Amino acid sequence: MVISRLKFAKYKTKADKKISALILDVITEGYALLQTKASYEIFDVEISKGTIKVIGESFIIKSRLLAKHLKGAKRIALFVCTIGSELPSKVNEYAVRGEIARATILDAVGSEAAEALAEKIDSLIKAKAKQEGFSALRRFSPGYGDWTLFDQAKILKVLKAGRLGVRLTKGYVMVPEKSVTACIGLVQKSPRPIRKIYERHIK
Amino acid sequence: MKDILNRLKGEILIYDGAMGTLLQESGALRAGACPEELNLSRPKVIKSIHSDYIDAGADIIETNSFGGSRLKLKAYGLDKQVYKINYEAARIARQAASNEAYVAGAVGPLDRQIQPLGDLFFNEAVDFFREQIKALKDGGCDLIILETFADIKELKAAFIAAKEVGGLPIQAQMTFEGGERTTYGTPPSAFCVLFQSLGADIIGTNCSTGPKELLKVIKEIAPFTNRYISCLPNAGLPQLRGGRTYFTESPKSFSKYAVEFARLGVNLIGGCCGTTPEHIKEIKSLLKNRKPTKRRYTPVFRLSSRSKVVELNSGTKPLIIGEKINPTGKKDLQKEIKKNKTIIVRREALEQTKKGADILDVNVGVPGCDETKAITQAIEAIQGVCQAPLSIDSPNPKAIEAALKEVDGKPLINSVNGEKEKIDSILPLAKKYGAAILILTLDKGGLPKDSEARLKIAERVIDRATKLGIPKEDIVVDPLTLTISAKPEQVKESLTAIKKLKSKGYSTSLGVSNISFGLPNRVRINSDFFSLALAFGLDMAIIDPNDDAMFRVAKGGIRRRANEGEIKRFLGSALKPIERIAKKKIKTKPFYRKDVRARLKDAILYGDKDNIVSFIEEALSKGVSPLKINNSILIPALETVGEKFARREYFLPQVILSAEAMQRAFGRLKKELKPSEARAKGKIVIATVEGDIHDIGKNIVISVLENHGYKIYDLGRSVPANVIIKEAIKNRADIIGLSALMTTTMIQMERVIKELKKQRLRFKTIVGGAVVTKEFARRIGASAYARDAIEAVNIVKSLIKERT
Repeated sequence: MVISRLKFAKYKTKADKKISALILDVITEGYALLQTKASYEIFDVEISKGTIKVIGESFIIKSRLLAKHLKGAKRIALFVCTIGSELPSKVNEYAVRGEIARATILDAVGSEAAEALAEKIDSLIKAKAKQEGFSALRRFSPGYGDWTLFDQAKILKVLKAGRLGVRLTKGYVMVPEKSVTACIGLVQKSPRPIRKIYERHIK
Repeated sequence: MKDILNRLKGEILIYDGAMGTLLQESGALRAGACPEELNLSRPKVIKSIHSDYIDAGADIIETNSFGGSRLKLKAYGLDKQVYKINYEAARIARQAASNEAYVAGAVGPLDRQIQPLGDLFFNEAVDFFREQIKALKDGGCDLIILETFADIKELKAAFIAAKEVGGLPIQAQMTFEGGERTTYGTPPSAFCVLFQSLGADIIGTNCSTGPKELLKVIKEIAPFTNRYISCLPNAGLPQLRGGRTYFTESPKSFSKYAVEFARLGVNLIGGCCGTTPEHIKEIKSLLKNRKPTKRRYTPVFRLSSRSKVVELNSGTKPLIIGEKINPTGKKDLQKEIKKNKTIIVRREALEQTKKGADILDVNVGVPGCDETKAITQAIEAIQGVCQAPLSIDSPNPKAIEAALKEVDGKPLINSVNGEKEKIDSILPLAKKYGAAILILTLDKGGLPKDSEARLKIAERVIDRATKLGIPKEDIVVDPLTLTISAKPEQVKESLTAIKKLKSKGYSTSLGVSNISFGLPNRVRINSDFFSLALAFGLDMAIIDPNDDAMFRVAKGGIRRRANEGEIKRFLGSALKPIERIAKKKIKTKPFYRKDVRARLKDAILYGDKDNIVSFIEEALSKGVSPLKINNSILIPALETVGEKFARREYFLPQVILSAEAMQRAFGRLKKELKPSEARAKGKIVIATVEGDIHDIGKNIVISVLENHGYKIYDLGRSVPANVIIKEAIKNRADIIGLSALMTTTMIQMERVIKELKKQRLRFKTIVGGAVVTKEFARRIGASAYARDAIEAVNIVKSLIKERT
């Protein structure tokens, strides 16, 4: 779906062979530049109107929309993932060299890869939650609705994102730029299931 | 008591069922408490559960030590008692079993992932497992069971630890989601190939969602191993009824599956989460006097990765080993390895597998570099991007061992030869880490001339390998080939050696392209020779997967047998230094029209930056004025591009390529234009605001504006407000362009505009970026907002008109 990021319209845009070949080439190049890393952790939470209190950590998330979204969740998974700095720095290199087309396509490949990575981590968490008798809610990231981007700092801190090489600029922008933080609510399927059956594997 | 492996030859043995489930029911295990701690505080409860299972008919009981590793106990503050807890676990079980049952020391995952999935080093993981396994052995276990693993590398670490402790049979088990793959992507077949090769005594599966899914696992595993197979399913999924947890499989329904497992050839059957002594009793009664079903196992050359098995189908299709990850003669790869980077390595890995390489050779030896570190990094990188099994290509045993730890599957070691030091250092590594080996038929004396002597060297290595327990199917011999330009008669020796090795049942490999070294027309010679070698029985070849001719040969498969007459014919044709294939002229230019103006227009429309400068030259030589070229050909063409983009006929890359072509064209035209004609239509300072690092959009805007004749000062990204203003003044800019992608950074735009007002500076401002809207632009007092680069051109035009 790299091409739709590049404003490709299915029935209107006519891409010639040269462009298609260039895009395929850059996608291969992009693949080789990926240094995907991710980290997640699961926390118990208490949710009241507009606030999410993360138990065991000294932080509270204030967001009415997120609290509403997480309704019924006893736990949340917080995660951060990144495709690393090699791809973004290559994009920059092309841009400086004046190869803007290559830079733009590679940038789109990076965005798509970061999205796919987030999706993958999401599904890992879902699978794990299922084993433990939880069902997972849809992913929610800082910046959606009224959940401020400033909270990225807290998330990166509890996940020790420095180990993955992810940090924030003064303007609360993540570096490397193709990185994602998110929260997934976990709802207990039954009031008293066996604790973490797969993890603890109570054989 | 008879040795357990001996008993398994003629009997199906029954494992016990769940421990934790019963501990919870008995009330001894409170929610959130550490089950293994009960070995110290409630030994009687543990012992009585063991006894219940033995009474129910279990032949093997598992110690209460699944979570007994240092890392897991640490979560309960029990990391000082690792030895004691595990030792006691084994001792209690031993007491309960006395000589009626076997005691299996249970070891589970660490709960922290090994690199690159997590932050734990492989060696650290081995240390944690070794500590636990040593205590279990000391406490009196009869075997070690490694169970419920999802990451194959972690299981490998546990297995290596158990082997290092030594002296006990090892049972290795993974848990598969839906019976298909582990959470981390390993299918049962890839798991089985590695642990068959590592030398696990029992290979199997446990936990999962229930017995039904494990049937699939057993069916997949069975053809890949001649070891005993174990299966310990959960009693289905936990369900809640009336405040209590139930598992879906009753003893009756569960034991039906047990019979099915026995029929498929499973040798050890028991239960995991949710199973009880009743389940075991039922299984025992059904399987009591049943003899194990014989399985069929065909030993074949197989390699694996985390997610895939590659096997040799001898006589039908050769395996291709991609040779491109090798710094010999490649400056850029050498440079990259020295810088500890892996971009080229990953690209080569991807491209080779895309072309169809079955196995990837990894050689990263560069003089003056730490090869151990380089090969570990390269393997991590390759495993991150593709699924092909690897061939570890190094002369350095230390680097080989590091690579063997890093690799997720069963690799090939390339290579060992007849030298004593090589045999002594490399073969034991292959055995320990479960790798296949490639033998080169040379030694200190070099490559023997005749095939007999080459075979002798091979036999010397094979003899040692066999003594160490490396099976025949894991041995590949490369009888080597030299270029025919040096010694044509040696071709026959290489081919004869292949034939002889095949007749003894060994797999063979060749670095086929050596044959044509120093000759013209290599492609033809290589593919002819490859085809000939296949006819003599070659099984695999180390080649460049980009070589299409070779691939055609490989895909054609092995259909014929050849004789010596063919060798002669091959030599005759290969040595004739005639270029038979006439070089076809390659068309370089697309279908351009004849008229140069039309061509110039098309070159902009198609973004052909390679040809546009020559078209400009042509037009100039025909006397078209530079101003006319620019204003009445190029600019209108560029406007057409903009219109096509607006109609969504073009997408972004096409617009940018056109812009790049325009840049080249204008670069050439500028030299011809009079200064007054070449003067910019306006000056614009552009920056991504402070705190924001996104600049791809800004760069696109710049390249499009430049083409429309504006002079741009690009200040880069994360530029503070005062710098932007300073530069605007210095360059006497007409317009300031600001870009931001995030809600947290777009407020910086407002700062710039406020500052301008404060200083009473009258620059026009134009803002844009993903989250910026027209409404936001108006609110902060920007002169304009542009949605994209094309819109920016029109807005800039009108803003400049306003100024003048």
